[in-house]
Amino acid sequence: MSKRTLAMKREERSFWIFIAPWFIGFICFTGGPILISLLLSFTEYNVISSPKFTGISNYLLLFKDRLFYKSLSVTLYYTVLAVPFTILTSLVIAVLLNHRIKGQSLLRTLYYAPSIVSGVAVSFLWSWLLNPQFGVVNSVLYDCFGIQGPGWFTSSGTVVPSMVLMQLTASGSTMVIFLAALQSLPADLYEAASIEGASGFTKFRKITVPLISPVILFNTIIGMIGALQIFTEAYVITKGGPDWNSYFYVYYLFDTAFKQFRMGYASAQAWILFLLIFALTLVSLWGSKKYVHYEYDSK
Amino acid sequence: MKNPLTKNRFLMSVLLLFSLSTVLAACGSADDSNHTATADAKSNGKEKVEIVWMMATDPDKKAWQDAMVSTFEESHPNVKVRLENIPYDQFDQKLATLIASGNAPDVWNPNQADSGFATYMKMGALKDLTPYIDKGAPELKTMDPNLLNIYKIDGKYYGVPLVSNATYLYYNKDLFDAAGIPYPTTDWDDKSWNFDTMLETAKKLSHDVGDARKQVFGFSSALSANEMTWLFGGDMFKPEAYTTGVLGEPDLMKPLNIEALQFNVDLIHKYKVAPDAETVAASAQLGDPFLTGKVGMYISGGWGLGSYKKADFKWGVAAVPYHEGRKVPLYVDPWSISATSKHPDEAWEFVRHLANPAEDGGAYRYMNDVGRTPADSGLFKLWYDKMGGEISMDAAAFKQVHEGSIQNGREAENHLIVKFNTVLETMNQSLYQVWGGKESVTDGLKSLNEKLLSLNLNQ
Repeated sequence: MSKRTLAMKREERSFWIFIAPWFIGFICFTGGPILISLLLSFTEYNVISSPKFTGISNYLLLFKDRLFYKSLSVTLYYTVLAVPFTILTSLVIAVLLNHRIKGQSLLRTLYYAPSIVSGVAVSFLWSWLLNPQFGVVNSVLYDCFGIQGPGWFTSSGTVVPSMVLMQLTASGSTMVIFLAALQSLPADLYEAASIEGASGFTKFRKITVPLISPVILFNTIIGMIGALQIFTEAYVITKGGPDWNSYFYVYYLFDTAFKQFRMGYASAQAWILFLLIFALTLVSLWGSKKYVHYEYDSK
Repeated sequence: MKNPLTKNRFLMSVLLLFSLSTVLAACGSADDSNHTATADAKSNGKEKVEIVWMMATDPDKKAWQDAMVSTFEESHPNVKVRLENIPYDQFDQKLATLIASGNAPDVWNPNQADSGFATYMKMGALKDLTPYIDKGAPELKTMDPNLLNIYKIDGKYYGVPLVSNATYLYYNKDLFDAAGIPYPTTDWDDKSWNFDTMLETAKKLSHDVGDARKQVFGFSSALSANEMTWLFGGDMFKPEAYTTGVLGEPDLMKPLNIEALQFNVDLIHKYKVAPDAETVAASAQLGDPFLTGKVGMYISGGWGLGSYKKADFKWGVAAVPYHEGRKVPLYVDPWSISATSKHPDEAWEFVRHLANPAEDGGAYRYMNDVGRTPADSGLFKLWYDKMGGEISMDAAAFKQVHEGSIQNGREAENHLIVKFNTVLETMNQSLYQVWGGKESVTDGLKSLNEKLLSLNLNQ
């Protein structure tokens, strides 16, 4: 054991003092509840009477629960549509906002602004915009183009795509991360490519995309985790309907916990979701190895 | 402890421990301090106690609620009532959290939430009020014993009725006048007013269906699919479900159920006199469909008498069409006290105040100021006169509609079956395609049956 100097010890002490608030907060409000939910998932607990140990029966029931599969498939469907949509639109917007034009910072602010509005408010806004009877969108479609607009959130086929469309106002932070990555790209590579006669699109495909691939991966994983946890839109706009088509996994979990008061069952649902997200993250990290380039790769 | 470092380390760990215990204490229980407060209050009888009264947010009731708090505090200077208003759709969730943390409100109406009385009763969240009622409460003298008995479970009272909403057929007088049709009857026993004649009337009232801007529908209702079957003498669940609170195996495929649902589907798709599922969903965003003025006849609960006051058209109430075995839902809501209430005596005093039918008492003013159907029979006469005047109907005719509804009524499903909110949601979701005309009634009922069975509601 190496001898520690007084300064090192003092520094260590400061570390513990400064970390203490976070540490205590974590144990009380995050770490503790997570552990407790794991324990609860093996019990039957209705909030009032004390939890009753039931072994793995919650998990067994879950695998027989039709709504469990329905909610899982709806959530995966949403994720498969929403993640590529968000990545693509925010990357395109980021590339456009990276051009040096007049009013650039104003535009950047405008495109980011919706992200600071609460999800509930944004959901209300969209639900009015897309109301099939009284909404602006369908009125414009009908009055200007004579098209009878779709049912959006009220029809089984269009409810999930409508929610994907809503991500237009929620992709601000993804866009900002892309923008930061784009700004750190070395200009000399582009100059060299221009001299070689590469077109704008080739430059984007051959230089930009490979260089920012770690950022694309990061945004994809974060976006995927967020998409699998989608809740607000269903809670505010559709209540899981119509015909269970927006009955997302976390919405079902919320229902079992706070409407049916089955905390044990809900905890089991939460842990299954955790394992699913964990597994999907590992798969994406592992599966993307071939396509993601790190500048200072140790290979 | 000569070494300053050791001393510091010691101080630091004390500090850490201290802060940790403070936080833990904060997230733990705040009861201890309350307990001592109660003890103090009891010992010297002067200390103020606070009881919490929780109600769903409703602008129509706010003035009445404030008046109740202030009049009670005036007559009970040692009690402070804290009124908490929770938005309706968050009521269950907020209540669950409060109950779990040991901070359940003292006085509340368990039927305000979708989960309903049965759920909270089964959970053990409600206090047995029998000892209090036995001790004598003059406020309950004129209460119909049948109403009190709704919330009597295994010989014990768990609630004191505050309101007894019935179900009526509301009709838009302006639309009837424009079509030149006489208003529907107020006599529930008039067999010529049945679903066939209702359909004929609805056809005359409907026009431009399909054109979102001009369409008028002859008929719609706020009934659940199960309640629709009641109107035809059917029922989706077994009788035991309503007495034991346990849903058990549903009984969906009865011919009467199918007849009732098919009739409602035909109103939408065959006769085009009722809005389809998507139209209902879209207009729900605006609030009550009847208030849009685009619905000629609308079957709904007695709260409409209060909330339709703001309608910009004239309306009235009539009998629900006749059918052999017809039953309509009645919605009797009780005041209950939490099983864990720390001040049950004061809470009971407050319940008595709320249930008092005397002028300026809670029940009187609820009828008079808010306009809701009283539970106390002593108030009926006053209420008939008042409502008749407000909707320009003869008081006797209004009385006939209301009494007919009570005679043909049965207690609402969500008050009696545990976790009915989940059953209802399952019902609405599974039958959406049926209302959309994309699935047959029997297929919809089959899929509903599967979903209900896989929910494990009896756990």
